[in-house]
Amino acid sequence: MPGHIEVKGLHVSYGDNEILKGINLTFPPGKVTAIIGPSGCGKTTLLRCLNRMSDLASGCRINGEILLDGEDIFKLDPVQLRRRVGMVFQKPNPFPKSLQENVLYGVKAMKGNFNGKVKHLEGSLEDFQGNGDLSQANGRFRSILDKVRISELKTHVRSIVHKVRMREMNTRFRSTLSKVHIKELKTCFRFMLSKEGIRELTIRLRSMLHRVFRRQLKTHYSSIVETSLKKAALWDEVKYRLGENAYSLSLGQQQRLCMARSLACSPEVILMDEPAASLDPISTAKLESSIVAMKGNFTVVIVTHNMQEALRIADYTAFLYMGELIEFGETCKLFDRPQKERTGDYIRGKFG
Amino acid sequence: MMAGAVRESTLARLEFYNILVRQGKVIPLLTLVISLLGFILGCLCLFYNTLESYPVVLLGCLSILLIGLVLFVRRREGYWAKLPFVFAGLCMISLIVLLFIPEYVDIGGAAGFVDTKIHHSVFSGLLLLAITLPTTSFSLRYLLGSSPSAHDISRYPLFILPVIFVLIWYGIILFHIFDWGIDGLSWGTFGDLKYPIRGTFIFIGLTCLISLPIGVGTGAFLSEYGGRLSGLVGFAITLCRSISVYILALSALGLVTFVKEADFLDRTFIWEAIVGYKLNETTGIKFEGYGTVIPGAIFMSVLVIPVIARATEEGFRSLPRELREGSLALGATEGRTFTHVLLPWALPNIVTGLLLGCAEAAGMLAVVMFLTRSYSNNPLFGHVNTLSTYIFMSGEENRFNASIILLLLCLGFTLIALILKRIFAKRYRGA
Repeated sequence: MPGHIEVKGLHVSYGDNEILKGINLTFPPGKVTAIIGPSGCGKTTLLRCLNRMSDLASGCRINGEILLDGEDIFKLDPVQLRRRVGMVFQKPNPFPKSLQENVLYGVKAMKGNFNGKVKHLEGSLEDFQGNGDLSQANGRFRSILDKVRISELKTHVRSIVHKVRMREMNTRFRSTLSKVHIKELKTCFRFMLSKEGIRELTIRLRSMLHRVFRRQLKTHYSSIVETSLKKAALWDEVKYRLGENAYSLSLGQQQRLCMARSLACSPEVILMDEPAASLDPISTAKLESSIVAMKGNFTVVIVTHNMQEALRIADYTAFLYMGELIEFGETCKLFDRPQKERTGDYIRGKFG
Repeated sequence: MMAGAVRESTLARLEFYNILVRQGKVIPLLTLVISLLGFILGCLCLFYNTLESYPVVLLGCLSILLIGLVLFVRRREGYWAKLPFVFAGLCMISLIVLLFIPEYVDIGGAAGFVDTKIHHSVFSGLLLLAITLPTTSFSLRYLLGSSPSAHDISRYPLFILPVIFVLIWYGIILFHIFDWGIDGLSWGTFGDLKYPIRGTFIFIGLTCLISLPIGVGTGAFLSEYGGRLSGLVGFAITLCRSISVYILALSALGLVTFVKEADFLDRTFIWEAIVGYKLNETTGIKFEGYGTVIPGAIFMSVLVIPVIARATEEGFRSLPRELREGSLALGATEGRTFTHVLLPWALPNIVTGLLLGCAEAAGMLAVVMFLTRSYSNNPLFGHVNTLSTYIFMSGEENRFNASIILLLLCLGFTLIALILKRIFAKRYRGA
């Protein structure tokens, strides 16, 4: 699900240097937005702020708001934020592990804190026994289920429901259960929670979750690896050598591997810092085709030096100059009829 | 024709002189010549006893001459100008030292097979070699290369000389050890040696166990936060290595022991009185005081921890920065990044540091474990004998057997260190 990022009044300074001065920007969800501008104008700083990677640098002062789906990211847990906002760096930086381990790194990092999640889930379920207040529960449920990410949950819930034998079960519920997606599971739970037998459901759900997680999800993991490598247009080249060290790939393949491993975590937003800067034209073409394929499912923010690249892949473009946002608009309109003079100068190459 | 040839040769000589003086290479050449002279004298001293102290006196005069020439030529070339003075100073110091060494020094047959009396000339020869070898190589390096920081080993053929020297010396010793020691050994059963070997392993294992977590933690902390503190660690290492371990051990043990009421030899550690008493009460394990492993291991870990800390710090500093950023950007916590990305990368360095520390600890066992009894059934809290103490205290026949075992142990450590380092570097760094 694509995420919606808004930047409001962002001021960033490192020590005495003011890098970004009052940026107000909205990244449209599901589209590719390019940020262009000459060197040193703050593009990378802006990108790293969206991920809260700017926290790693010392002496960084940030004023202003950045909202992800309406939540202020500076109030979120940075680890959770980075699972929802992925990043691909300029220089490919695969881990010195096998390809499979590289892709699964983020996924396995999310696997942690299992007991906490289960308790949270149980707690939410038990809450509904008393009162029927479901509106609050749905929000919490959604966040929990998004983090839990069990794709086989539907088959297990089906088996649970059959064991519990809820006679008052709604037929509509049964039919939806047969073709349920994880998103619709929330509505299913909403139904089930209003009936009796919730206690048994909790117990069985808990044991089911334990089984699902404690078991080595090899099939699950390998399917994740396959899908994310396919999305990054790398699957055909490496499908027979997933156990090899990641450093044995060429530079373009390594960059696509980095993209695949951020895709494996299913983020809402993907940030890219000049991904094709160190790649040859063929790898660049493959990378761009995968970025274009991501439109609609992910929000992509790409910083680029190359204006033709922005023209090729981006729906929207933002032009930054010396820390200020000069212009923002649809790519075609920005490049054909720029409204500000400085944009036109940059596009025509008067300064670079 | 003749006149032309003469003119050419003088021209050539003039040109050579010009090059030498203009490039400022007179002093290096002079130092080289004098140190070569000293080197030859040193070798002569080692093999002929009759020269006595005349070579050193000669060298001292030559060094004074060198200083005079240097001052006369008056070239200030920064780094290079110090070397002749250092050389001359060392010659003076060795001259003074040698005045105090008597003609024959008796080392009491500790090695067992060399003459117990060592002639004075051996010392003078060794000192001369120690001074002249580096000087020769430095001056040669300066003459041949444009700067003192050239790295090509084939340009400095004299560097092979110390290697040959050491090989011959060690070769003789090793040959004798194996010659006399191999008779009593048999594969599989060590007999009497079982307890010392067990003691050595316990000791080293305990030292590793204590020092590894603290060392790795310190190294990780220093690489992250410490700028000045890391210099302190290096200083600590140098300190621990330069002071004789015997002195350190004696002072440390003197601080933490006290003498029991009646028996002078029956010393015990302070913490045994506190901890060991409680231990005896609750579990019945008797802590037997002097000659046990635990205080020795604690003391030895103090020496080993800086080694491990420096090695791990180097490992963490060599991390590429983007690796850490990439891991954090994927949503891994700091702890997970450390265990899954940073630690594997630094593992080759950690392993080398650990095994280096272990080798050092193994070498100093005798120092720490003086006054051991033979053996006891309780390896952790009882008296423990180690290979080094066994070598020191046993008779002629068994000594060489134990020496062989100890040598093979050290060799094994080094080999394992190299192999593990190779494996880890291949697996975790993808090199």
